[in-house]
Amino acid sequence: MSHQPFEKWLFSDEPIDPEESEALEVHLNQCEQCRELSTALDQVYETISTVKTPEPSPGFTQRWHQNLAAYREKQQERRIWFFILGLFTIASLILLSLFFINLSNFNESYALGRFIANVSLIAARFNNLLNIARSITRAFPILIPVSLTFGVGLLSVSFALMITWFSSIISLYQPVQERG
Amino acid sequence: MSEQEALWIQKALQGDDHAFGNLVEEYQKPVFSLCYRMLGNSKDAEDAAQESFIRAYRYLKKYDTNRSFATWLLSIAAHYCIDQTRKRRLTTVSTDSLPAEIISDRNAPNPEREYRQQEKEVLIQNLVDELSPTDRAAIIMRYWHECSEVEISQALDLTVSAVKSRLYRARQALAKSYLELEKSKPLNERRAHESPAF
Repeated sequence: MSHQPFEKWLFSDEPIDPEESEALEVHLNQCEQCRELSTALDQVYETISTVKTPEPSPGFTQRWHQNLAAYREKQQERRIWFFILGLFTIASLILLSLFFINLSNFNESYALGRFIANVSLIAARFNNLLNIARSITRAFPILIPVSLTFGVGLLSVSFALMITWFSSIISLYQPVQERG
Repeated sequence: MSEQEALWIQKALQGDDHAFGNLVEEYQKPVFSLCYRMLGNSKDAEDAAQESFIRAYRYLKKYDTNRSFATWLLSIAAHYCIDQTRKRRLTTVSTDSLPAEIISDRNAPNPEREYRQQEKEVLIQNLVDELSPTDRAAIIMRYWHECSEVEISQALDLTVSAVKSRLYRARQALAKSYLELEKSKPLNERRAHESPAF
């Protein structure tokens, strides 16, 4: 049995004329499939009209004001980061420009010679420092544990500062709501 | 839109948060209701409704005063919920996890009536959940918010004929799903709903 145009009339929102309405009624009396669908659709409409409208819990507007404040704070942080990023980009561009400007005056053999000379100078100064340290420790042996303790202390403080710096960077990156 | 609402919008555009707060107070129920029907639970509905109002506040300058403010807000909420529903499809959602509101309240004055009401609530939510996100939004706006097809088309960025076709398809799907659910029910449960004459 053909269910058209009856199914179309059944599910469409368009009004149908009295003749079509009569034809639909006749079809519904004969066709069980369309009759069941028609009844089901009526039941759906009935259910929609009787279910309660869900409502938000009290204090919705206050929560919205809080969310708006958090959103603004987040936007502010984002602006700061964009500003820092902008500064970094400008500085990088300036450095790159300087590099490219000086690139035409770049002499490879001269630069290599300067590099080797600088490395040799640093090595010689380091060697001098070692010799001075050896002489001092020979003259005053007590200085060895003192300098060791001082060195370890200095390293610990540096490490603690580094951890603090890292944790503050991580907390700054976290969304505002997560931080509360 | 009332004169009062127009004034609140005007003030909000000048940066008055409390004026927009009045609009939130005024429209929280329809926006929350749409989000609830789209997402199926209070927690997600609350988050979606809050986010919709934040977005509305952000984009208030783009609001065309010739359009209905309510429809504009529902449009923002519907788009947000459609996105959320699409994202959510990647994760499995159990149908056993019923929203807190529809768990039976034993202290209700008429527990049986309350139970029937909750049963209807679960039924309609399950039926609506089976629709595609855009069809779901169209049906919710049409039947729970009584929006016209033109308003739905504006809200969902569709043509009027596309809305008609989506509503047609959604009605058909709802009726078929309802029928399948009824047929899958045990016989004694079905009889309880039938007329005593049969």
